[in-house]
Amino acid sequence: MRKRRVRWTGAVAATVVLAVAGVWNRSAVLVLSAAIPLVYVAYGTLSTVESSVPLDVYRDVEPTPAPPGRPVTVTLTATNDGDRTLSDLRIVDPVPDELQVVDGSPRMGTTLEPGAECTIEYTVIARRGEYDFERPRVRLRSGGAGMVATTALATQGDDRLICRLDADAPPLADTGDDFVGRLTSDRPGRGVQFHSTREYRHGDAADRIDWRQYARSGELATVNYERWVSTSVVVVLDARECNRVAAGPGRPTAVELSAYAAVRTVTALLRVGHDVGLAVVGRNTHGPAGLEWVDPGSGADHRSRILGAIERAVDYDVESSVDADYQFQKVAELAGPRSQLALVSPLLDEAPVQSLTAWGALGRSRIVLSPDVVSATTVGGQLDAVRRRTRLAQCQASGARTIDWRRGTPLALVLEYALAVEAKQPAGTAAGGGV
Amino acid sequence: MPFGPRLDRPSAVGDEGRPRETSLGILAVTVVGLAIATGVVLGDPMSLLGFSLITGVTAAGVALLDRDTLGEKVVGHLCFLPGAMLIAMLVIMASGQQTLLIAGFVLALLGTASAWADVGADEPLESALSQGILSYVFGLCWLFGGAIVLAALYLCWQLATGVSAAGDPTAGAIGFLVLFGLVLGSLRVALHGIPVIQLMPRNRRAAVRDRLARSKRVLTVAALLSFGSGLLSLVFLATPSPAVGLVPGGPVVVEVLTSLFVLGPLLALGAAALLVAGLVVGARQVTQQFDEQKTRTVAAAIAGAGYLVVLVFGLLPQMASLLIVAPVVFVMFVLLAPLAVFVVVGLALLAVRIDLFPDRAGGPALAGAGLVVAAIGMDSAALPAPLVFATVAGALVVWDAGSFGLGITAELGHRPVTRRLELYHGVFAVGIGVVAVAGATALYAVRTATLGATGNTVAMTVAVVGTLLLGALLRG
Repeated sequence: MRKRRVRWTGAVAATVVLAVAGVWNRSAVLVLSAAIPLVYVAYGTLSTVESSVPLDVYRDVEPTPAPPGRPVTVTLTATNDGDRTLSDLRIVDPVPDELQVVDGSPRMGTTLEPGAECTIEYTVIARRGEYDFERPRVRLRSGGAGMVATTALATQGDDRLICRLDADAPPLADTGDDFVGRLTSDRPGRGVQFHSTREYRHGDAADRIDWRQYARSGELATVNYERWVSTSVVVVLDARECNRVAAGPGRPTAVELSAYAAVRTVTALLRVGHDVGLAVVGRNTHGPAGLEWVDPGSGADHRSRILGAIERAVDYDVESSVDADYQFQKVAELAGPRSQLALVSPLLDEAPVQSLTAWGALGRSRIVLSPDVVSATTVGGQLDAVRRRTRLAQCQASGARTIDWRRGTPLALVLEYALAVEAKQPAGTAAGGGV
Repeated sequence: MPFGPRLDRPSAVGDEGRPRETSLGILAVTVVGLAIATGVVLGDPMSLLGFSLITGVTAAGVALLDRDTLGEKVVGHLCFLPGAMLIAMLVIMASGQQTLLIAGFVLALLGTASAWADVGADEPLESALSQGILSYVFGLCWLFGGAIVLAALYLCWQLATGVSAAGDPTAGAIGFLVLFGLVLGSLRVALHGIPVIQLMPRNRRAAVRDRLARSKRVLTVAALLSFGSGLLSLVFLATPSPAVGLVPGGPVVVEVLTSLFVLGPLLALGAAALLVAGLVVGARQVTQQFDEQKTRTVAAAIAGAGYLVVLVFGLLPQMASLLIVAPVVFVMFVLLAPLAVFVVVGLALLAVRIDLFPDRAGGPALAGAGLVVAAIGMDSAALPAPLVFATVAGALVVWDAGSFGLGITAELGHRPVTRRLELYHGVFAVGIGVVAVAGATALYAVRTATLGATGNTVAMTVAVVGTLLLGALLRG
């Protein structure tokens, strides 16, 4: 679409003024001067632009799919395929309304010679869902800026940002190490790490015989290793209405981040052989006490069931009265005494802390994974941040293990660190320490 | 910030985004370059640039008046009206042949400064006009109020000296009563203004409040009685009765009371009471949380007093020592020049309101128009033709570059990297100007060589009609 703009009315007025002044003064200089503005008017009138913009545009969205909260870099590269310089080129990449640009700008204005290219690079924060990028809008002006051509150009490359909860979680079968759990038990048995030796019994495997001792003393002894056992873990997702808040516009909500953390936790636990169950607090379903409940289990199909339940929890936006305290109580009852409880909650109120304390009173092993959605850029935000840290400290004081997922830290790193620390715990601490 | 408000916030650069920085740079370089070139031709390269300081200060004043805080508004007042008056005075004082030339360059420099400060729009102009009028009114109030106070002080002084020098004890007693009443009245006013209760400890406030109320009543009654009896006693002066002279010892008492040892401290007490009350009331007003309207009013009041201080202690001694103008002319100028400034600003506001200037392009439009006026002035002053052509081309470059950057922020956001784009456009605008000037100069040289210095009326008429027809055809 081309449009002509009136820019030189003032120049025509200047011509008239100078011409009249020239006649008044009987001055040839002024009369000649009156022609100068007309040169600009003519330039503005005669310079035009083509309606078709000779630009080749390529868009790259990296990474996609991305998990919620992950910064995603969008790069738009425009190349001048024509044989004329584009003297005034303005490009705007329409960012989907739901996403927020946190770095860079999706807009650019430049002059582009034939064959030259310009690049727009900006960063958005991924939110769960699929977001289509519209065609970039390009505006080209003529040399005198008197004519404007506006068009939307087709792009090559990516035109969609996909944000999924399991975006960077590897499939179970690809990375499993065939060990049953990572928890060490104080009961000796088969394993890797030395525990003790005992008297040889008939039928003990030859690879467990302590041949060195046999060489020294001539007596057979059998080596006991720390036994690796699996356990049952119930991931409790705090998806209450009060947690559907975000740190800022265009950022994922606490429920989205909690859901992503739950998916990563479930995947990590299933990979190492534990039985994993799920309880979603804050929904009103047909499950026990209105909970969305998945019994502990293992395997790829089980993971898919859990993933589906988490997806439903994120999508749930029905206003209904939910007795969250009762649901938290019910979780401990349903999980049973042998299961560990992994609560994923932003800790924006006291209810999760009270529930953790109550679970502790029942003797359950607990762990809290808390995504940080509090923006500390305001006084109120700083107060909320202090309250949240206090709740984390209260959880820790009640005997639960706490993992604070700060904004800007990749969740994979947080979980890897937490699990690595756990793996280094000496035998016998599993029951009290959590996962 | 070492001193005073920052002038680059919110300026055209800050408010309109970085693109205008380049555009306005081209605009400023063009105007300043032409001013220097004209100065060189006139014999003093910096003669026209001297105006840039005052135009800049005036535009900064308009920008500061559009802000919210008291200090910024006061500084804005002190920059705007005095600056505008100074510009008007300097243009008027310019020699007759160069008035148009100087006025044109002053307009161009003012337009440049306005574009940088982003004040060529509806809101800043309206704000400057209304607040300028308010400060002018306050200035008049301070002027007349000050005159009244001075007259009262003079009267008191005359009364006191008259009383102390009076031979008639009756007249001395009457004068003393009047003065005593005035001093008691001053103390009553001071008690009203000074926060006596607030300065007391809380447990004593109730008692002090009662005592203060009693004191106020007593002071009021005593002041009225003293002043009233003094006035009533004036009757005795019209009669031949010796009055006080009949009272035994009366003349001695009156003589003591009307001596300077008594009257001096008494008058000092009254003056000190009034001064303290004034300071307390002023401090209370200044330290209050103002709303927008009150801020404007207080700033205008302070600025009005500032005008008076500058006038009395700054300008008048200078003018008197230099004997530049007659006092009547000076007073008329001081009283009427602000009105002329308000008329000009009002006309500018009207031009913006009726869309004579494009939205937010008041600064570049003013700069361009100023250069056109300057070109006409150059022709009147018989400056070289190429300079006239260059000035006209400069007006077009100024308009082109100044108005080009306006839309970029709206399209590309506040921090787009568009310097290259702006420079490319600016270079083309300057290049076209250079070609046009070269062409016009060549044509003028040919014409001068063939037809001589005097013009041909028919040829000129044909050229004008042709130019106007071409303009009508192209229409911009």
